[in-house]
Amino acid sequence: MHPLAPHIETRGLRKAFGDQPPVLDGLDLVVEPGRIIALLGASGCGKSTLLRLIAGTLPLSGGAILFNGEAQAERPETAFIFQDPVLLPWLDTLHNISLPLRLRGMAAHERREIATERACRVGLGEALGRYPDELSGGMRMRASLARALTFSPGLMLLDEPFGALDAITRNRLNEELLALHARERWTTFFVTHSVTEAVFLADRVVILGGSPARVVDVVEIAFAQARSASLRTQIAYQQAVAETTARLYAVLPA
Amino acid sequence: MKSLGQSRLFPPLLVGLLLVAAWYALRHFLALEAFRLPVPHEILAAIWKERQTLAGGVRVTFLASLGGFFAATFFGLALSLILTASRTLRRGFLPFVVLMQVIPIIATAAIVVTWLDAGFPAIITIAFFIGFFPVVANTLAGLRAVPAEQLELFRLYKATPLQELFLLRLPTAWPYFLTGAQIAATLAVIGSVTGEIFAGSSANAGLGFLIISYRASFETAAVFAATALCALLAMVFWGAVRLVPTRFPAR
Repeated sequence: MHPLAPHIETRGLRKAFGDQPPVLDGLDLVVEPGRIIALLGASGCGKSTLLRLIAGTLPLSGGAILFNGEAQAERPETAFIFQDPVLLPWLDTLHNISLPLRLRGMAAHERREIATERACRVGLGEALGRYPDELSGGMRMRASLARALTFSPGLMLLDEPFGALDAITRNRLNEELLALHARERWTTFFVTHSVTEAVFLADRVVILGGSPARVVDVVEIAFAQARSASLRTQIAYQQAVAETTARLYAVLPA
Repeated sequence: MKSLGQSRLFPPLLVGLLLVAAWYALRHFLALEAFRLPVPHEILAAIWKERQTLAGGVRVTFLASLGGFFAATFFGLALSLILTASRTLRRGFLPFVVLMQVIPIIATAAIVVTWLDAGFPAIITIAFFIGFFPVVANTLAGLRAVPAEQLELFRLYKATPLQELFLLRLPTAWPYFLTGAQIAATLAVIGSVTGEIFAGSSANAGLGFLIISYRASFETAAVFAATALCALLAMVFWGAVRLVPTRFPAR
């Protein structure tokens, strides 16, 4: 378990942009440390907004987010993975990965050391000197992942990160993400549109719905053994996908 | 084998030859005097005959253009960075940046000469004025062109405003700035030649000054020669700026 992986609770979470009707209202959620939560729901239902509220990049309109039971707690070290890799095109892989360290003023040789280790962890050890336009889509997303790991975060927020990749690369990155998670066990929120991805990754699938959005259903996903690529071919996995799909469709607007 | 029509070199070569032929034909069939329309071989002869004077002119105009270009890019970049830091400043200044671009350079030149008197400083100032505003307009657009997610990334990692400016906005703006600098490079030559026509002197004769003095003595072939060298100089300037890599040199 990551020593700083937080317990997270949202109470009556509310978010409205300007004078618009609220996007989220009365959203309650409890997540134990080190768990992976998949957030499913219709497009535009507020999943990404929820992620940004937890990240602290958007201010709350009401309610509270409790970290380890405290409303005023210092925010845990948080990483955010976007839909796009969001790499800076003028920096090579090494310098893209070490960017967060540079922003906090770490010395150059320390940055290099940490960024090289993170790059190797995601399999980019050979691509340190290459620029984003010289990497494949999967490699760019790995670089984005490595950058998110620079500070050894306790909280990992992923906003539909693999949506633009082909199915094979996407499956492989799901497996790699689980392997990385097994090592540090960050508390994780994973926004996705894919039920198969949600069921493969998550301990719990949270379905958001309604307007304003609330938690409308929660599916616990428990598998007997540690998850690996072979899980995809098993009946238990297929059944969990079928059940989650049914419960998602039951709450989607017609 | 590629046909001649598909070749990159052949079509412009053919058009060039046709133009030169039309040029000679015009002179011949309209029975024009040499001082009205000198033909290419007369212009080449004038370049040779006046080579020392013209070489001096190229040197003077080159230096004035270079000075104006560097001043325009340096101060243009500096003003853009300042205007990016404050929305109020930007809103206040931007209309005037646009306004300054539509003032004819000839009018600017007349005013600058009134202030600075004729001479090299006035000429550099005119070259600076003409290149400055395109640099500001382009660079400002680039500094504002940062994708929202990159800004969010910087805010997530609590980057300071200065880090955001120099590690994110400036590298994003770099190719825009270079586009502005390319425009400034050719405009600086136009500016310095304009300046020399207004404020040049025989002691320090640039191409612009040579053009009006050759014209005064009806040496039209030499006027054409100096004009051609102005164009060549502007192309060399533009080409040199094109060589700068568009990827921001960051470490």
